[in-house]
Amino acid sequence: MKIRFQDLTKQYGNTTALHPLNLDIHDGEFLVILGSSGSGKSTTLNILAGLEAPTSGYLFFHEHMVNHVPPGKRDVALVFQNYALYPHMRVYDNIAFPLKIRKAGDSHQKVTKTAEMLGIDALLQKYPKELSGGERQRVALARALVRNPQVFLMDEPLSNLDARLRISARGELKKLQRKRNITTIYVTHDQTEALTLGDRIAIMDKGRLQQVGTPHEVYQKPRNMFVAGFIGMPPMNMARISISNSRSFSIGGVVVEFPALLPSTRDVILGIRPEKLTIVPPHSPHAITGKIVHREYLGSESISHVEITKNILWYVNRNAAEGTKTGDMAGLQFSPEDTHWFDPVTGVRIEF
Amino acid sequence: MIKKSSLYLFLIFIIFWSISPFLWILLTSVKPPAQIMQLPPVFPKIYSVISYKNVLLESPFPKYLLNSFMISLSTVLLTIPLSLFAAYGISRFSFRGKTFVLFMIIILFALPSISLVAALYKLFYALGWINMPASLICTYSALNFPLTFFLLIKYIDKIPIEMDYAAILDGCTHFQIFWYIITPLAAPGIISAAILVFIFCWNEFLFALTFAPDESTRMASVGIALFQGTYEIPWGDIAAASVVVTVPLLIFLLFFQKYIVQGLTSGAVKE
Repeated sequence: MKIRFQDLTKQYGNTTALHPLNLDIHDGEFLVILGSSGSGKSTTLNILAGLEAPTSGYLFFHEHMVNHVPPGKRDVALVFQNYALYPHMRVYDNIAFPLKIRKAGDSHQKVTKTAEMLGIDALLQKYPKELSGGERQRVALARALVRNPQVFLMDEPLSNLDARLRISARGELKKLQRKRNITTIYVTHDQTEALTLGDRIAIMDKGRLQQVGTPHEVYQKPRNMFVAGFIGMPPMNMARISISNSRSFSIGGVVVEFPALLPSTRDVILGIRPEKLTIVPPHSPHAITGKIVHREYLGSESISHVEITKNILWYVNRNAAEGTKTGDMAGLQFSPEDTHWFDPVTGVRIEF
Repeated sequence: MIKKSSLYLFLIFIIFWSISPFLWILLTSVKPPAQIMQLPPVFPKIYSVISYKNVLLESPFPKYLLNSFMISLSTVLLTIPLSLFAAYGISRFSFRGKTFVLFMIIILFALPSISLVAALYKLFYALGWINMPASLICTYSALNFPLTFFLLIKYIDKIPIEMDYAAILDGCTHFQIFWYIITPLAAPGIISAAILVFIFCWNEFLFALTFAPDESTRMASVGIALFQGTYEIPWGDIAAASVVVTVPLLIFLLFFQKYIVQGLTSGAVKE
């Protein structure tokens, strides 16, 4: 199902939850809407489901405007964060419920088939409270999938699972979506889920869509400072620099030689991802010098916190084996093609 | 240790204090008639069932019990669906005048029943409902409505709204949500509300005496008060009738104790 948001807005009294939203979702696509709480992502999902009405603008399914189509007639299924299983019904009846309400035929066969597909056929006679978190999540998926919806909506469905289960659940979810080829809109605040699951990611902040793109695009070419800081763990290092001439800039009062031609604007924001920085001896040419104030050991890697000036703290993601320690001075080297530039006023990405 | 035993002594005292009138009635009901008015009171040496025989076999009291049961049950069957619908509406929808509706229902709650007797009597008289069960069933339903209504709102508020959303997306109409989701999930609240209403009606005296004093519709509570002897007040029969009225209620209470406590304390603490 092709979906289009056209100038869609949502207001609650005087607060604007959604600024005009324009977004196209392709048929069979897995789109992740990523944002923190209050970003408008859940509002978007609720409007898609029909649980809330937009204040203005249009929502299209294929070529049909569905603003006034009630949720039950949209052929949309939603998996809730807390699963919202009916506690007074057995698993079987939970899965069969949408079929029963819609008076669909051969519901027994559909229920058992869906349950088999999700590996919960042994649980059909149990009640939701007897199930583990992972099992409940599967039941919720089964209830959503059993009526073969055109659109599949998910509201942070994995956030109630423990970390280990989440990884396997992610894999299964993606496999399931590929197999069924259902247009899926998945809302989350977890960038790892967004990057691993999404064909495309829509990043939202304060009710505005910040960027839509493939995981690669949003990571490699963040359209603004918000996206740059939101995607990536630890976040992208950013600092305001002033360019003195085409070969050097100053960061926090310290002049650094730049190995390539610099843009001609005077004030810009420089951004470099933590894994693109290399630690070299202090005061090496083309390096930014700072002091390692803290190191986080993460097993396969470690994150060094490097204080360049009092107000500028950068993260460096390096192999744990490297021989620097807290308190050392270090130079941070980078190659010019790994730099991102942003306008200091608008925060928008600048391309040279 | 001393503190604990003194607490227990206190509790035993309270229990005895509350239960002693009932024990007195129980004793009176099994005394041979000659000993009932004896002073100082004595423990009966021989127990007699004559009072029970009088009440159950030789008076219309079983008929009164049946009246009480039918009227109480009818009231429950009328009040609970009405208040459940109302509570669902108030809990799940916002509409113009909602606060006003709630306010009016609270006022209904605050009205003392004695202030209603005269007006309702005139009304039922005009309708020709005096000595008809309908007058009592309607009065009891209206009086109990605020209690069950607020109790059920508490229960329905506790059902997460996602349940409704899930049901809407599964294709339910509002009535289907009410029927398949809200009602079963509010079942404990419905049961406790029903029990409270039933007990209220079973024990009610004022309206029962005023609106339906005739033998054909007389309720057990009124029946006890109107027991007549030829030359004296038949205390033994009255006591036996009181026991007969109370025992079913006690069994009922023991059986559903869990729900009643739940109903009365729901919303008292954050869950």
